[in-house]
Amino acid sequence: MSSDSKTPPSGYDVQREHMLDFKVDQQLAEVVESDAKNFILTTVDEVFNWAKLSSIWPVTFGLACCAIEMMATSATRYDMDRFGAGAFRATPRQADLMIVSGTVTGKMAQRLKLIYDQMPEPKWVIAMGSCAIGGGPYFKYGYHVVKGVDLLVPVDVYVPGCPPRPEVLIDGLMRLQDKIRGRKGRFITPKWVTDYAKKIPYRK
Amino acid sequence: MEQKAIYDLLAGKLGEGAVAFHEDGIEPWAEIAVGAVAEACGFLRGEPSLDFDQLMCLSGIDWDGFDEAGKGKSVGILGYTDEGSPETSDRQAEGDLGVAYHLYSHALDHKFTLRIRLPRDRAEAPTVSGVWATASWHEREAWDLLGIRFTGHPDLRRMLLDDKWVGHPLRKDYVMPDRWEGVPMDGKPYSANPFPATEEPPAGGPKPDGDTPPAEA
Repeated sequence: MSSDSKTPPSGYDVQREHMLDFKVDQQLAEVVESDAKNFILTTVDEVFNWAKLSSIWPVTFGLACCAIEMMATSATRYDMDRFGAGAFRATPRQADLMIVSGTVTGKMAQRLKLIYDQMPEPKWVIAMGSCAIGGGPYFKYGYHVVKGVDLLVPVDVYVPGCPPRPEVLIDGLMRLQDKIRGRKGRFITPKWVTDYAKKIPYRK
Repeated sequence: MEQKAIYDLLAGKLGEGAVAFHEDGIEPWAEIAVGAVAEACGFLRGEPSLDFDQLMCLSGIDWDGFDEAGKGKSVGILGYTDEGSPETSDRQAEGDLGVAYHLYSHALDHKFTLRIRLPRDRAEAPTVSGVWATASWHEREAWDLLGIRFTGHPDLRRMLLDDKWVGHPLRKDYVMPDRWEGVPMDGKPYSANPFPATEEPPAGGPKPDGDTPPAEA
């Protein structure tokens, strides 16, 4: 069917065609204009993303003192279940999120990698606290501490603190939800933070 | 019972095995010979007028950098550099290793502290796990972290670290591992700034929350 052979049916909006990111051909336009109006054109990714970010189930996995704050986050006062992430699963095969809450020792690193490998896709990782981010106070003399869990598994969100308060962990969870939603969240560091970081004497 | 009186009783039993009694410092302590440990601990536990029924703590000690009296400055311990790699040094560790036994009697409410010195190249001490059963795990920990071998111990394995670990980490000449069983133990450069200074927020867009500096206190 050639597009020149027929004029567009009445009611066919040419401008609407240009708003779509693919070319609507004549045949599709006829179907739209016909009586069989029984389908919807949309992107299902948004629906899937909404479903994913509304039920991020973490794996029951606590390593050190940060796990106490993680428990407080999931308890009644802060109630992480408001964001759909309160169902801590006792098996990695039902979990979407691994909150690495605490110091990762060399012995634990192999178990952590095993748990991560057992989680089904899609899966995310939050590095919670200084130890999980970069070794923390064990950086200098910690002969048994892995200097950051991102040396083992890919990390989506870093939550700094020693330990982070529950509000910060909830904030990290919401940044992860932003990431899943495909929207750019607060990933750009404000300038005063980078300026302040340069004044810390340990940094070069 | 006073600690000096306890030491006098002990010295009368051991003879030459009792080396010295130090009353200076926070807590008095007695130094005894390595060969007299089993006899001394059996005596302190079994003598009715002493009745030390609890071993509160058994600690391994590294006296590297300290003088004969156990006083002095500590030495530089090897760690990781700012770039995350293990530090190395040509310095040889000196000085003895040692073991401290902290004892307590519930019935008589008195304490006593024993210490022994062990040469670094032959750090062996007789076990006291037959006298106090709790010494078993403490000795395993001292073996794990300081490499003090307790002869006659029923099950001298590593306590905290993995069985395949190489070396004893609390010795002051220990070199940190860069890798263990495939797990990287060295870190990324700590001094690297992950946020380049040229990175600016997009102009005209909505400002992210918290983009205002905190008020000066």
